[in-house]
Amino acid sequence: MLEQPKTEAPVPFLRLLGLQKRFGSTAVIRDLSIEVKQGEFFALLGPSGCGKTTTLRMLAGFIAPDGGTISLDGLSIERLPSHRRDAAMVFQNYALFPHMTVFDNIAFGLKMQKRPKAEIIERVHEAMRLVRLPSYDERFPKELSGGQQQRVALARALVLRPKLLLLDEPLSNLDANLRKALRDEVIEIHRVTGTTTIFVTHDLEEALVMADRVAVMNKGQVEQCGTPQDIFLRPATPFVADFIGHENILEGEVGQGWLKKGTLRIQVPLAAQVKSAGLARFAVLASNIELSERPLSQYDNCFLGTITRIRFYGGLTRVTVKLGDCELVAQLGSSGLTRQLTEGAQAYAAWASSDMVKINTDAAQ
Amino acid sequence: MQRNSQTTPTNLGWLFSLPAMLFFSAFFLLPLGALCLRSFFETTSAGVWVFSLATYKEIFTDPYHLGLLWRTLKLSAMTTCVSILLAFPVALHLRQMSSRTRALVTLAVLSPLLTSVIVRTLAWMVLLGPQGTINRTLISIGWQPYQLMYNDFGVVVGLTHVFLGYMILSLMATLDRIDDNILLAASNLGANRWAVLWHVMIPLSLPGMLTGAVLVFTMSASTYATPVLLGGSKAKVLATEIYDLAINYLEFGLAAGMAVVLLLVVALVVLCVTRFVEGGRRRVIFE
Repeated sequence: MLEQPKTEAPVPFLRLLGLQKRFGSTAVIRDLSIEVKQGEFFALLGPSGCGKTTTLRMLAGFIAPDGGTISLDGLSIERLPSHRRDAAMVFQNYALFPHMTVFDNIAFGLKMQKRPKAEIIERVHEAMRLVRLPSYDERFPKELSGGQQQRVALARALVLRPKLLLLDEPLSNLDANLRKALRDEVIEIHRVTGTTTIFVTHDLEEALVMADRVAVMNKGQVEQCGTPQDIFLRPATPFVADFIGHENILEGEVGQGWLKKGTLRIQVPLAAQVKSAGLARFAVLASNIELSERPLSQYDNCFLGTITRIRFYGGLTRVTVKLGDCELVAQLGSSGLTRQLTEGAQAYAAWASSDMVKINTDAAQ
Repeated sequence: MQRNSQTTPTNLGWLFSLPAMLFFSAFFLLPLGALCLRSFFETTSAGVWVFSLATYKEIFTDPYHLGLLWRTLKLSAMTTCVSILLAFPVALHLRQMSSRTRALVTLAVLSPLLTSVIVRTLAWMVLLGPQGTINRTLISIGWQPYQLMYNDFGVVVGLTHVFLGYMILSLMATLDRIDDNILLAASNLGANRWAVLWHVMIPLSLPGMLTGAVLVFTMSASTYATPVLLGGSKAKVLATEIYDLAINYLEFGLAAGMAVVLLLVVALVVLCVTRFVEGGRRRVIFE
């Protein structure tokens, strides 16, 4: 029988394959592979030191990888100098040219391309409108607020209509309200321009809100790559579960549809079959746990426990319940019920087994 | 002073700066004033002091004196330009070095300032003289000897050797303050190495270049020992002429007048260059 010829998989717009980088004796990036589709808004998420900024700098051409390849739009770019990559970067501290006016800052890239003057003027003003920057052509960066400087930095990159837009924690130097406003604007700008964007952040919420897909990084490797929903609702590794903020991780002996944790026998989804009886971990979101003074029969997991801590956060309240020898956190809306709860009181904690997610124990999925 | 009195609750700042101010007034401002006055007076045959502009008339009509002024400015400007050209690559290189290497190189750069001016200049005479090391080497390989000292070349070499350190230090101070990300941003936006240097690095180092240029220019214009020894009588400058007039010919009036002219001309040049460069920094680079 003849082997079927393999159908060529479409080459991804941006592909990082087996990237490696060492600084001295520390391996900062270890065998990193990511594929990004054209027009995607892709977030690299992780704690500081996970290698996300190094990855971005390798994409920009500031750091040469020790091994591996980067291809952009069918071209191998890992050996190209930064100025020939067509990957425009927005820096965390904006890195505007202090000796140039706003206009000259934005026009810089076009001037390097030796575009005609009329085209430069038109495109600079178009970019300024796109990022909603007032006509501050003649001002210098130091005369602008942080948010306006950020807009100049964005316009300076976007005016080149790059194949790839690289954002290095672009919102982290702004105060909370402005950050949220600019977040929406960046999403809108991405929607309008359709520029493939790689976005580095350590802020979970930012990544979930803004990105089409997220790669969670840890120690120079991708732990999990998927849509924000995938990452948040179905964390694949303990690291991701922990980073996403899943406090409720239950580890215990597992059998056919159940998990034994101390004295508790917890119903788990049947689909999450384990190869052999042994230890397994499951996570359940704090917002999926309900508390009540009476048993809740609609959930297949319902246990009586003691409330050990109540924390009021305004819009929501987080309650820690001790069930046997494990503690679970339930996140409740600030409704009438939470006011009746007191620390030390008994309450039922209930959740559906279908809301439980199995977490792989070994890092390699 | 004003700033001081705002920050310290007791207005005693002036008291502590008094010793320095007294010293400065007694040994600098007063003699300078006296010098200035002296240049506007001359003694008649009866021994009476009368106000006169004769000194300045002589300086500004005598081609010899104007020539000296021109040569002084020319040598200072040449020294300044050569210093900038030599110092910039060094400062640029030092920017990327580890702090240990930097300390060593900085020391090496400043070492000419730690040597006596006479020793340093004599060393140059040994190298550049008609029978000096360089010319003997040239002759031994069958070349013609060159006139390397007792001319402008020798003076500029000697002056650059001394003052290069000031230029490097001034440039280093500004280059160090340039954020690496700004250079990366320029390259990321399509600038090659030379464009980054020309459009970003050099404009941002202008303040340091200016400080260095003012230091090197003023010191070169007023220095005495180096032009005397390396320039000799063939490459005289104002400072050596002033010395000759005052010490050898006892022409105090003329010496005082030339000192005042030197002071004012150098101040004027520095002012103009500073204005020009600072004006350029505000100007929109895109025409």
